[in-house]
Amino acid sequence: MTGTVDFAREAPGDEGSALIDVMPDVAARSPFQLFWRRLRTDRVALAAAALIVLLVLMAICAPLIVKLVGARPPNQQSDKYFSLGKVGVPSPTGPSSKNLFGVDPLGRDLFSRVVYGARVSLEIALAATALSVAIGLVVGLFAGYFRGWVDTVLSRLVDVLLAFPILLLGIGIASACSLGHGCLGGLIKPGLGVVILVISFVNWTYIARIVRGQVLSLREREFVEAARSLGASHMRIMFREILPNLVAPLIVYATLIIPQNILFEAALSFLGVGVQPPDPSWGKMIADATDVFDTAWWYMVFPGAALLLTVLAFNLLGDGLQDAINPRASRS
Amino acid sequence: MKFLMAMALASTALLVAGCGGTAGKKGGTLTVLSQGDVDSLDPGYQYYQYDYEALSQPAQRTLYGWKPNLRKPSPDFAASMPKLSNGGKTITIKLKSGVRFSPPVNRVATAADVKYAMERDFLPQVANSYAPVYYGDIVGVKAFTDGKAKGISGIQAPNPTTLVIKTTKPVGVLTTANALTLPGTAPVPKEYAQKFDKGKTSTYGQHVVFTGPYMIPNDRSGKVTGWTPSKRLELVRNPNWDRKTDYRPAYLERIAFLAGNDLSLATRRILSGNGQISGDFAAPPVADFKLALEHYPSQVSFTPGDSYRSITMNTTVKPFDNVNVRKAVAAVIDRNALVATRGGSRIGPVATHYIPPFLPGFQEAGGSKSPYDYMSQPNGNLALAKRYMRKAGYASGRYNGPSLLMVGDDSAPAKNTGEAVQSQLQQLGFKLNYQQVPHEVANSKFCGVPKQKVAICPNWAWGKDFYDSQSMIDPTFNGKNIVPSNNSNLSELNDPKLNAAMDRAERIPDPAGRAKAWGAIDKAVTGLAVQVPWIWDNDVNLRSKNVKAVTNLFNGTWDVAFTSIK
Amino acid sequence: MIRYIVRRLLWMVVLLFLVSAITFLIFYALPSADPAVLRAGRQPNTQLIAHIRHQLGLDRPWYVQYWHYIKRLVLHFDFGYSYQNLISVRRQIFERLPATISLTLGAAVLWIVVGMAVGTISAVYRGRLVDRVAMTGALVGISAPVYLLGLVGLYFFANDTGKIHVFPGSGSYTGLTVNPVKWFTSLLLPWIVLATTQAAIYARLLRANLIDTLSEDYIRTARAKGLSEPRVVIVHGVRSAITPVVTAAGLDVGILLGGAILTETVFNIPGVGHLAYESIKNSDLPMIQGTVLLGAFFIILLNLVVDVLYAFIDPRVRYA
Repeated sequence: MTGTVDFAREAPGDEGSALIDVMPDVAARSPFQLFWRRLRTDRVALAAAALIVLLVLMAICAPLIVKLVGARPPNQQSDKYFSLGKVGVPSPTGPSSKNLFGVDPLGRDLFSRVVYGARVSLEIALAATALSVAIGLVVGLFAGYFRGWVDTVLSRLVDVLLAFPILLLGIGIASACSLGHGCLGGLIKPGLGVVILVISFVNWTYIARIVRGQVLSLREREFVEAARSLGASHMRIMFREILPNLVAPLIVYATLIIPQNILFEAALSFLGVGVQPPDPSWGKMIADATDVFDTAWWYMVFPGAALLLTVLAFNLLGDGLQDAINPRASRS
Repeated sequence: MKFLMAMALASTALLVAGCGGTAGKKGGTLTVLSQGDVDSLDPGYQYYQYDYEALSQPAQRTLYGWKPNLRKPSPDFAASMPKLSNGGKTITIKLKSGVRFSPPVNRVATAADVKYAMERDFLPQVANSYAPVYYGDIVGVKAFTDGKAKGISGIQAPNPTTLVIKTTKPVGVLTTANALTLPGTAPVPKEYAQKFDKGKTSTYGQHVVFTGPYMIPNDRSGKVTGWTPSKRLELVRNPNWDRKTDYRPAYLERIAFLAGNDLSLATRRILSGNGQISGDFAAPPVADFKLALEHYPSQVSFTPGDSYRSITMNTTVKPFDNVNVRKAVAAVIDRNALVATRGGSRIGPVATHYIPPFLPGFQEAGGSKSPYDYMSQPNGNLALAKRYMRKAGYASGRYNGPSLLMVGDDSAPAKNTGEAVQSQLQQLGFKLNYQQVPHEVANSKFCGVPKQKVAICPNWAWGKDFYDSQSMIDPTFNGKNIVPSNNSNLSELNDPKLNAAMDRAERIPDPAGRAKAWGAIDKAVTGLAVQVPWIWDNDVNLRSKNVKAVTNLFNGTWDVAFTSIK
Repeated sequence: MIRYIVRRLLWMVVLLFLVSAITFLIFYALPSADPAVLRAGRQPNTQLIAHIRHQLGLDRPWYVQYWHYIKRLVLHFDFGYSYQNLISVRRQIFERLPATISLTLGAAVLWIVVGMAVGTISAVYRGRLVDRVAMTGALVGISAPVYLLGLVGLYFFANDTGKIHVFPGSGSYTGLTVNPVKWFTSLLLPWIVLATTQAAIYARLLRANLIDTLSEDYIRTARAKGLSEPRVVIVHGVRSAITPVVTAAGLDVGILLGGAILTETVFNIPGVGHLAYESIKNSDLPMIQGTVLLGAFFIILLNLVVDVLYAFIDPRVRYA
């Protein structure tokens, strides 16, 4: 079963399989300088990287930015910014000097919600990526290194999970764990943590597969043989000898799944099972905008644009990294 | 007081416009667009507003009914108002003769059919939910539900047109005929229905017969053919209905109820289309409401919903065991802002207590003014709220305890109301674990389950069962009504003095005395600030231009038995 | 080959069984709405709830409930009854399936045709303006969530809420057998939206593979033999670069047949995905089970189909 991690698009495309194909050469070569030289000439990727740095800064400095612009805090609700119109029905007002991006149907300032939304989005995407890489790495290492029954058990587990309609499973777990006082006897509390866990839970299988494949070939290499003959323990061989060779491809892979995770969070929030209020999430804002989008266009446009730009930036950077690490599949 | 006048005028104007004094044109097909479907076809199960609109009012003859513009019961299958004797404990009801069941039963309905109908209300397979509450004091109910008697001895049919109900003590909701308007009093032919009432779940709904002007098409055995659940329900004329016995004009030839509509799209379709009216939606989404008032003002009707919406606090969850914290919450809530989330003041006036205008006891409970400072400022008052917090022992005037569980609805506009509440409570330092779930889940799993210890429910609403304020106060604030699931006393208020006052008020037979007693109880409950009522909302009904639609004040929706096509 | 297929089919049964068990455990263990209370109506009393609980078998231990479920499923192909409305799960799923199949297959045709056309042109004109524009467009397509595209599409083009009235709006889906013309027009916008994001992926995928293929020796030989360039690209290039596209298409269709949740939600199409999503929100366990099993069935089945197809497209692949 091939497949990628593009859950948020409903059906994963098969972009990743190209990546899987090229992985084996990568680990062996890892000429970092060559890689950097190539990346430096890729202006698009550099621009994307700059945009990402800006986004991260925006996320970190959200309170400062909001203050500098003179906007209200993201969760301050008010009916002062409604217009009553001719018929006395309060409706949110559009962009103005007081509210740069207009207000939402609660009268909250959309600009500060979009800025704070970057925080929520990146926090979840980065944490979920790190967590799924960690789980996938450990499972893949064990399965590939020990082979035999360990491999059989772990690989079959992955097979079963891959047979699930994954977005559905994600929604199910997210919705159940966000209820009441949490799930698993209160072990998992509702909040951002649930979203991170759900995304990692559906992600790690793909990473485990890739790592397993790499480890299967790495474990036959001379340096592993050498370590083994010197009497190194399994743990030492796995984590000291094999792991360092996996770092480069994993970084590229992680860059490629960050945008998918951003989209996954947005999709969960769009469906109402992701980020809980009052935390601003772009996906949730888009969902809320559905009810009013023909009277309050700004409510869909700004969060939508923020989401699109962020994902695009990560995709461009990921492409650049991939090209730089493997010029054979280069784009031009 | 001002708004009350305005509202009264508005509804009078509406009635004049609606009924117009002239008769409607006979014939034509009407389409009703709704979000959900009726709950059940079985009159023994029906209880919900839309059940009344689609089935109980146009297709069944209950003992008493609600004429469109009257706030008191009128005889329907009954020939006259009930006669009381034995100190109000014996109720004698004369019935009309010549009311016949629809095919395949065809025969004349009698008092024995009402007796059977009310008995089956107590069968678990019928799953009626109000019978124990309103009919529980009828003599012989316990013996019947325990399986010791074949029927309820306190319901008697001495002859085909006389029904006698005997109760163990005077029951106000029965003596005033209010509870005898419920769908479960529509006659059910025993010899035909009994076979369907056997087994785990009654299947009478799928074979139901009708006494009203309309019926669902069925086959020769009586099996209903005109209903596809969650999609379509159809009503056609009942050939056995006699116009002379009924107050309903029943102009329409055919009525189709279409479920599963998106509110926003349905609103636009009704307003710009032909031959359609709104079904079960209390009000269209705010953006569409605005559009409706801007472009189709004459096609929008308001009826007082006779209900309130409130934010409930659970008195068994800290810190809401402290009355001053509750008062602080009441004081900080900007009720005008909450009203804005539902469409602004046209949707209804800001509430100051529970019993809504037009229900007896409203004036006695304080009218639209409030004697309490924390309910007097519709825009909220942070300084006052902080004073109450300090009184409660929070020196900074802000809450600093652990985060609290709040569970609300996940769809607009209720979702927006909840988020506004969350944002307003933040001003007092409240951190909330706020979860949005579908309305049914919010009630069945969280707010209505005391074990869940939900601290706040921001989307609670409660409406009347009939024009008697017991149904507004007793189920929601009497300690005896706290149950492990589907609880409606969300605050879990269990105040012995108030409980006793409510038990006394239940037994008062005369309407004036009842109004006074329930009004006073309302005032006392508001004084405990266990909930923050914030709107007495109107129902907003929509019609196509060519529909001469009539609203029913009791039900708050259109009355299709009085509606016609222009 | 036959033996391989039989073995895979057996494995499929095992997988489905495991999927059903895991789903049951997850949704049984996690908190959800009380189905008995959901069923009991608006103001039920305690006896009534207990009665319904017993009727639904909810008072039994979970393994007994699961055993009954599996027994009914295997013996009668019966998925049980929805807690929400007591209507047969099988009936509701089969009622919804045509909408999902219509949406998926229509979109698949569109995205494969468009994706392959764009991918081929891009590969042939590699590095030129047309390639750069196409690939930038593809990247934007990949980065845009389908629901955002859908809402933007509705905003501009829906004939009830849009600026220019072109396509029928949200919630206008009509069954093929009810009215074929309306069926087609109501699905046009959803097809385009769903296909846009997918076509972008396919264009990139085919382009990358085609560039690899076109640099191989046998293509050079073909060119040297004097074959026309279009013939070289299409007959020799695309044909061998198509394998991963077929794989991806099979898997994507498999996943979407189990429910295109986001697209169905945005366009309010009464498909399986929407049903599954609603059932999760309502904690309707039998319905969740049914829809998850259906989804898994399609995923596993299409995987098998893809693997078998592989053998036909690529003669190097053998199955033992």
